[in-house]
Amino acid sequence: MNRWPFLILLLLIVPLFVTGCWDSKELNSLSIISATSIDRERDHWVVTFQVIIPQAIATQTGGGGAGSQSPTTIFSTNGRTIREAMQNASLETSRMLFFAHNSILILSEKVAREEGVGQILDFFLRPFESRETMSILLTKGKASDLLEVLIPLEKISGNAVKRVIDQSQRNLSQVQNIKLIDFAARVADPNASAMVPELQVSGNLKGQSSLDALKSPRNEAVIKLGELGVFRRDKLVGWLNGEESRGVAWLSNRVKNLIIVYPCSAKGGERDSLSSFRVLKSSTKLSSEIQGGKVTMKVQINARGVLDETGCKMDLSNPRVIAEQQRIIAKVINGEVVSTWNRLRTIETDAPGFLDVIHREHPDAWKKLAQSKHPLDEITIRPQIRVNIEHTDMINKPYSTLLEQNKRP
Amino acid sequence: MEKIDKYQLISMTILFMIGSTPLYELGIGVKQDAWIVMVAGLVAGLLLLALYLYIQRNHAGMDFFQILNAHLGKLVGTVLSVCYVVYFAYESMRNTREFGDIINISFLPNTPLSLLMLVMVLLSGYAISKGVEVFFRVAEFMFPFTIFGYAALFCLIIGSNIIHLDRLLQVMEHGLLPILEQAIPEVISFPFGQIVVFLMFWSHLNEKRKMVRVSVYSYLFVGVLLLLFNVLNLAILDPSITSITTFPLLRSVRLIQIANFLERLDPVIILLIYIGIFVKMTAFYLGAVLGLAHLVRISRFKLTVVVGAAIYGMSFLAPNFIYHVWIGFAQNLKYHFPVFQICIPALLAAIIFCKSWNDKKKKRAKQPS
Repeated sequence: MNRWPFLILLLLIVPLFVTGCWDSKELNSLSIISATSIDRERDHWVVTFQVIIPQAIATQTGGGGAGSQSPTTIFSTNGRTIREAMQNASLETSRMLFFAHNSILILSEKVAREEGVGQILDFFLRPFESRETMSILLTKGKASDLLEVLIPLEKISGNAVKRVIDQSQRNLSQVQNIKLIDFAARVADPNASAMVPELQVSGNLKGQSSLDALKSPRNEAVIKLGELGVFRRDKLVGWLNGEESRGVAWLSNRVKNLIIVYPCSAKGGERDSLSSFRVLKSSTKLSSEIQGGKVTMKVQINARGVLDETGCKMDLSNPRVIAEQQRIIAKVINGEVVSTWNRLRTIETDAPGFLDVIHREHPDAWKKLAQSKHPLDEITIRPQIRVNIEHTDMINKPYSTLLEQNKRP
Repeated sequence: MEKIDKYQLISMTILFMIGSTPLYELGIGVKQDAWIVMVAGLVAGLLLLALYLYIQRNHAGMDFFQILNAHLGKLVGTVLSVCYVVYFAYESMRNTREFGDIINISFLPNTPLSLLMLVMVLLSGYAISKGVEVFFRVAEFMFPFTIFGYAALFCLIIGSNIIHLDRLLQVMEHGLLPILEQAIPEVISFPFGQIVVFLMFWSHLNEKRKMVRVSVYSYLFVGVLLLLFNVLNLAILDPSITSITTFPLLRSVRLIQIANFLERLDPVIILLIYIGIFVKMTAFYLGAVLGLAHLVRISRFKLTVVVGAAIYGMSFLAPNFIYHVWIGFAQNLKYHFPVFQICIPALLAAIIFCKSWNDKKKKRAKQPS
């Protein structure tokens, strides 16, 4: 039995099937998107892409140097649906838009407030190329403006923004990087509210969007993280400022690294010298109590850290002094937490997910609350804050005490 | 007669049960309690497995079609045999179409479905034309890679810190009833009841005494594995997102991000799923071929071609993936598959039990005399 002709025939035919010719994508026919923004104009979606220009990144080594070519290019398209807007993009690009490396998605305040994010989430969760790990950001003005700003030290501003968020989340707990998938889950959760950081441009936008901007050491404009946008279901309802976003971080057990500035004494006014306490470890426990139909939320915060800086004159080696300092810090945190809670109540968003806790611990009380029109008004909070200053770093007495000694002779 | 050993049976049972199951979130109708549905299905499936093993143990060396014929007579036996051949082929086709569509949705949107499925059916047909032994050896060979793959995914998921176990709370908010309604019969029919096809293979095992133990242990192992991935999906994606996602595990795996370079691992999961799908569709295909061999006397090769062509042809029945999934999950699992997985085997077991009980009575009646 001669099998060879058959086998050779098979070897020749099989490769025809496994080439994947139908879905071939050549690198040089793609335009890789690094950031996307969505605006709304009348009844149209305006989608703006920041596309990486490979030649501009490849030719130079090291970051920041101004080349002859901008590292990214931007184009905006519009359409009745987001997909249509993207489709229209192919009318003006020479290459196929490739979405898999998109790292940030910027929504304008107008879209988030008026349209809601429902359709946007549907669109970004649906196609296979879109990544659930992209970061979501909000902006108060036109979202596409942010894509134009060139960032020093970085080639691709989309990736740079992502790194800014990552970096500041690590060093400053009030900022939170929210991934598309977590954002979608928070928006869908009836017992919690989503929060999204704001990205803003400060300075002269025009100046920073030209290549010459990178030639001078001082930037005309910078991109920076600002306030925190809070959602009720799929719509943006308000902004929390820096202090309030810290309060939310305390309430939702997200504090990992944070500086707390506090006065020397409990009665200290504005002109008093200030000190800094650096939180190294913190935990927040939420638990609910029902008494006579009233819901009380116990917020137990346990913060440990070090004294990082002080302008006060005191003996830091004395445990009593340290205990006093701890009390003052606890008072500052308490103030932040309470004022944040009052603010959240007025805009009626449950950012820390109190209802979730009540749902878990007291399902009956939760049912009552869920039917109420203003469920948050029926919850009172009772913060219990413990602060522990573990050490005072490399010096154990304030430097200012030396100055006093020198005065005397 | 072709022989398989116990390691091959273990590998086959585990790969077969894994199939494409991890990809779906079974029992998601009850949101965060989906995993309890899985537990219920697992326990109920264990009872079914006991039933099948009982049938097989009383008839060492006979396969399912021979047992049917022996107890139900030539006519009924033949009719049921034909039904089972169709059922096996249909199950095989469901896997074929499913994977074709998965590939279309996730990786190769423009590649013709017909070609994807043709490649799969040809591959399975080739394995079957080599016989039972070869197919089981293939499973034994692929087993360590698959288990390693799933274990690695599990570690990476843990490493990327995306598990939020609090999303599983609150447990059994609406009581046990909705959970049982979800579990019976849907989760039993898919995947646990599908093990009925092993009635075609158990007779090939060389160590008959080990059959029960090996089967039950493999079943429990795979049950825990499926449960684990079910829980992971809920904890990673949140019940809300899980419930709207076509392939939850695929999405969970896409969230893995370690040290800015270990990410976008979706091809890995697709590869693992394909191993499962290949084993499952080939096992059903083989079941249909072996069954048909009892009914018509033509060579194995021709049977393979005929059944393969039938499976390939049937896979075009559904006009689209949505219809295919709807038919499978909303119709077949509730009304059709339980007939083959529960009703007929239970009937058969009852007949066997009565007969053996009768025999014992007769023996006892004879003894005193």
